[in-house]
Amino acid sequence: MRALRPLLILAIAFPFGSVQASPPTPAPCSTPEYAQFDFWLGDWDVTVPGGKPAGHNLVTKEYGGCVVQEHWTGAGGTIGSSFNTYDPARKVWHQTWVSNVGGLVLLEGGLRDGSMVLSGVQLQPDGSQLINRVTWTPKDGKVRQFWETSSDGGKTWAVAFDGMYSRAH
Amino acid sequence: MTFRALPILFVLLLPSHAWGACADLAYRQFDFMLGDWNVATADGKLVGHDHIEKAYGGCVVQEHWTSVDGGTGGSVSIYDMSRKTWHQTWVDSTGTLVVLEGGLKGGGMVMSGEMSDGGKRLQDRMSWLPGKDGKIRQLWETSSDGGKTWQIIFDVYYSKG
Repeated sequence: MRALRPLLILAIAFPFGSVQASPPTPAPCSTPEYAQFDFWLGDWDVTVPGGKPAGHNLVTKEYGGCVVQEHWTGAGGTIGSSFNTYDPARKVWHQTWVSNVGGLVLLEGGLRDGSMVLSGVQLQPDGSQLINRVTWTPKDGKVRQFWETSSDGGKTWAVAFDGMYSRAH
Repeated sequence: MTFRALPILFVLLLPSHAWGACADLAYRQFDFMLGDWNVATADGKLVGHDHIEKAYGGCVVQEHWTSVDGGTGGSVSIYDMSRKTWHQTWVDSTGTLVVLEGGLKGGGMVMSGEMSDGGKRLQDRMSWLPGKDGKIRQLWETSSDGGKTWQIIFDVYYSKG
């Protein structure tokens, strides 16, 4: 029940410019930054190197264009979803990923050289810290999602997932 | 054959909810929010509807909010077994991002975190408090002085729609 922020409540109480001096308020989530991850939108078949199917991902814009939402169905039975949104106060992109295998992944970052790069630390069941770094790169109508992990604080990285997104037929 | 059949038998006798990755009882601590709800202020003014369901193999409490003014929002809540902590991420059609963590406290769920409001960073504390009348109070407080003082910015009651 958080959709009504204080500002919004004011907007409902005093609709349509009843406060005459106030400048027009831009629509929420209308700045160019909110479009930075739009290259990921679509209905995608995802394969791993060698062409083996990894799963299907439907990525849509939701909540008035404020959120890029992922709906993943893995070939191995994993289903999951993520919320992705831009935080203008901190100038970062945030991702929260949840799935039926119980993992919570929290990532933050932004555009870097045309790729979306999001990373975050995840505490493992054994108490160790794992860094996730996920890079989405658009190229020739496809998107590569490259997921690396580090268990030594970022000194060395292992590839956890290397998926190529092609438009689903 | 006998050696193999015995463990299989035990597995078959387990209740179905024990099969998944999120079988631990802790994943059900927030189940009191599941359902179709009308949400109103203390004086009875309807502010919206909330549909809250278990999703992703029972691992996630997923919220679908529609306010009376047409705004929409959603959240995912999940128990993070590694940190023994509940997490909620909330997003909505006004661009709000709220990231909260916490757990059961005094019969309710209390999660806190930070949010951006305009250019400011605020601390948030969200409480979901089941009442004896079957309603659930949701209290949203923010602090701009590092948690010394708290302001109630939303105080609503959930009743089954």
